[in-house]
Amino acid sequence: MSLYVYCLMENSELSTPCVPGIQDRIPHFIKVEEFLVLACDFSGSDLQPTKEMVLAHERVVESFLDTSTLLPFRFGSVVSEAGLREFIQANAATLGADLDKVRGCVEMGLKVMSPAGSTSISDVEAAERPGTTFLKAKLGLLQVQKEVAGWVGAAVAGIVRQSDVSMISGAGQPIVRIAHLVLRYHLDEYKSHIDTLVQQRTDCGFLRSGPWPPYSFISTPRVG
Amino acid sequence: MSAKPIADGILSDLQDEDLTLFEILDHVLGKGIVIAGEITISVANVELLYLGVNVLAGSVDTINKVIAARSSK
Repeated sequence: MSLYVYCLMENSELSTPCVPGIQDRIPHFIKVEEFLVLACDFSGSDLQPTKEMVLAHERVVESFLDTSTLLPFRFGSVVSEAGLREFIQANAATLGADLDKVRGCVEMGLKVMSPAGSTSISDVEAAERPGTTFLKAKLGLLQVQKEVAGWVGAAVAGIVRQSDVSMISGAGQPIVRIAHLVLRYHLDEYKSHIDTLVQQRTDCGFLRSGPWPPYSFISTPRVG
Repeated sequence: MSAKPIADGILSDLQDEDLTLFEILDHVLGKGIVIAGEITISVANVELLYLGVNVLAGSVDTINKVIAARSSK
């Protein structure tokens, strides 16, 4: 039997899990090293990322968000108990440091669609010089990311513990994805600063969300 | 679940339900602890989840990369 793993937590007094998750199973705790892992038995060899499954994953993780310090696993993490123990033993120091980093914090999401820095490339140039066009587009994206990260960072300086900035450029206008790690007692102040920013930058689109488990502040290596 | 996302400016026309799902997918599919797994995540229905929110292509890319990495082992 394999395990579907939801999150890793500090070994402390926690309430008994009662929210059903993947395959409608109630998760349980597994103690590994100095950590607790919230997991449930998983049968089968295939997992469909349907809306219901994704919501079930998030629902279980969030059921402990307010009462514990946790690190969420990515959706679809199915592993043997031996594999889980091996992973945690190999990464115990990194996981412990990540738990220290996120203690008392939540992740807040901010996505910014900015018209600034867009690269104008003519059809003729794109056809005649595809390499240059690609590099120009790449440079344009980096400029947008840097510029947006700069003014957003200035707006929340001193309030956020850490930021993670990346781009979503798969389709349509590029979007700058920013995750902020915010201490819970700074949340109201953070929201107020973002409100002000949104009112000031009427040329941009914003998408605000949270609080989330700290999905974007994981330091363990990204393995297949 | 996390509070409902708030969209402003040029993103404000998107539907609340799409935005909520997009934000959840963006977090649970694209981030978090990655551990070498034993199963295959099927992408057959993924695009159905993305109707109305074309910016989700990044998460589709992530799934495709995971599957490609597992297939090459």
